[in-house]
Amino acid sequence: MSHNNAQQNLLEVEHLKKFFPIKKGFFSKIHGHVRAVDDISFTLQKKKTLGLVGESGCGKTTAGRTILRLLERTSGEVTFEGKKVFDLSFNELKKLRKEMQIIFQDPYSSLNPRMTVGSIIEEGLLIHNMGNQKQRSNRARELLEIAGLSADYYNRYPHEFSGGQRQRIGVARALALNPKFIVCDEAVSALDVSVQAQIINLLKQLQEDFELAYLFISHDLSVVRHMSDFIAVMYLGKIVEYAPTEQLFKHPLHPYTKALLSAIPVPDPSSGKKRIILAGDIPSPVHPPSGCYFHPRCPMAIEECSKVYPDYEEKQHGHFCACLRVPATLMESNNES
Amino acid sequence: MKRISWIYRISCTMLLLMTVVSLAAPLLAPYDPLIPDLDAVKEPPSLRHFMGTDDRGRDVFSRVIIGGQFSISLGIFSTACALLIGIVMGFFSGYFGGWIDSMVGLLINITLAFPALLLAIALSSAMRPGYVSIFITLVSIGWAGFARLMRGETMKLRSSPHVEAARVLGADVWYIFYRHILPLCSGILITAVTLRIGVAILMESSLSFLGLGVQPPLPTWGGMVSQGRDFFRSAPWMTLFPGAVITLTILALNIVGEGYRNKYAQKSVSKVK
Repeated sequence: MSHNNAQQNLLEVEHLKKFFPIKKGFFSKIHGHVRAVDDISFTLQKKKTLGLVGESGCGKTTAGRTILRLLERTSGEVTFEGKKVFDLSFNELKKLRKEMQIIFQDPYSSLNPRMTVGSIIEEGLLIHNMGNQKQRSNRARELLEIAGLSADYYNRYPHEFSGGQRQRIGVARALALNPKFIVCDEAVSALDVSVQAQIINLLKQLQEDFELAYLFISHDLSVVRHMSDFIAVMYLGKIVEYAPTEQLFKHPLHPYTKALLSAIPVPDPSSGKKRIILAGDIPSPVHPPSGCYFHPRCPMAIEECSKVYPDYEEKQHGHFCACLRVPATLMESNNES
Repeated sequence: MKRISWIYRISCTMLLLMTVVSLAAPLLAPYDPLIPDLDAVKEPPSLRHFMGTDDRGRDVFSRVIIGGQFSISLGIFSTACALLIGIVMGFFSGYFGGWIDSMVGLLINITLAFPALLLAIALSSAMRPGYVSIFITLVSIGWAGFARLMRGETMKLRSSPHVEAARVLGADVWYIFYRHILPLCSGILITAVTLRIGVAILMESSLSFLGLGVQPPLPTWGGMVSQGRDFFRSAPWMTLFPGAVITLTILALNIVGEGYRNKYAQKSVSKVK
């Protein structure tokens, strides 16, 4: 399944699954699985950003980590620049790691408190044995400035910095090896709104300067809209809708996406926008509902929805959706408008 | 906190002094600790023998500082060895999990399930009594505590973002161990080490008291207490001085360990914000 064949894909994720076994009892018998990532597929081109959105617990973070092989997959395939990530040996993977990096949500626990800022940023260079001490420290100072910090911070410790500054240190660390692809795992969610904007602008600037592709994981739709070229909406481990950003915001197809979008606050009280309130909680990923995972909360559900999981198919050009109630005929009707 | 700090300082100084005195004991001892002097049997403390003499006329002070050599060195070396084993076992167990963790966990639990002193008696009575048997006994009991500590800390740190960041950068297990796990455990390990040295010295004394340790005529603190027990009425200094030294050493070690823990806890709190 490829969303866009025109360019060569940097990252291809095919039917990726990650289940966590639930063990119980003396003999650790497996009693079921948490279906954290349940068959997701997407592609990402160079210099593009894919936003991955969903409620907390829907598996977006697990998806990011599995793609980087921080976790082993249950099944499926991740291909990065033509290399199958899960087939690589430790040394091959180590080489590939230069190309794919991660920025974490929590700027506090993501920096080792016992290491100076300089040695945190140099870490990748040290691990890959690149340059001598002098070259490494020059590179680290350069990266500090690229990330919008002073090169004088080189010898300081992380606890001397604010959350936003720490996040910049994390960004500098991710950039050290000149990657092509960075997973931003809720990279701005833990920051104040004003600082969020700064980090987002930094990330956008870096994307232009260093030709980066991002997998931007967030639950904040307005941030994702600002950052992304494409958006994938996740619900209970599955991608329910995928489309170019503006397309998704203007013509959402899936009822879950519609509900999410209607929850974005609008600063105009007279806009008269109606919010779709979803009933109930997100179901457990251990025992997902029958049929379509969303049907118990779906305002549009019909009986059929509780029986079969709908195909994830291209409903319009470049617009994928998994919903029985969205007719593929939309293809023609939308082309007219 | 202010009040604890001077006790902490005194304890530190005392431990340092004791270590230096024990190391230099052969030079400092005013009398030979082994040769009996039948003209000076059971003399009370005086200027000549300021801890008195024992039932064979040997200077108690000389014997205490020479005995300190065995007790302190056993405490330090056995703890160091136990620490090394504990760190390795605990790290592998906590980092890799799975069957390694089950095995190590079982071993730790078995070791800790026995009352320590009973296990020590059983182990050391199975060997020829002496320095080596005590050393082996102390190590094989002491590693479990460190391993359990290290295992817990490793499990906690293994999934923390800075470790994951290092993995994404391509780090191997060894690198993660010495850059991201060991430095963050050092505070808690140092505390455990200080407390453990005290326990080891106490256990060594107990074993020597029971005659399972370093054999007479070589002096050990526990052995001296045991030997003086028979003369407690006529020559209490034979028991009181070595006993007091044991008590003071362990007390000092506990205070230092506690103090270090408090200091460390405060520091890490201020660091984590």
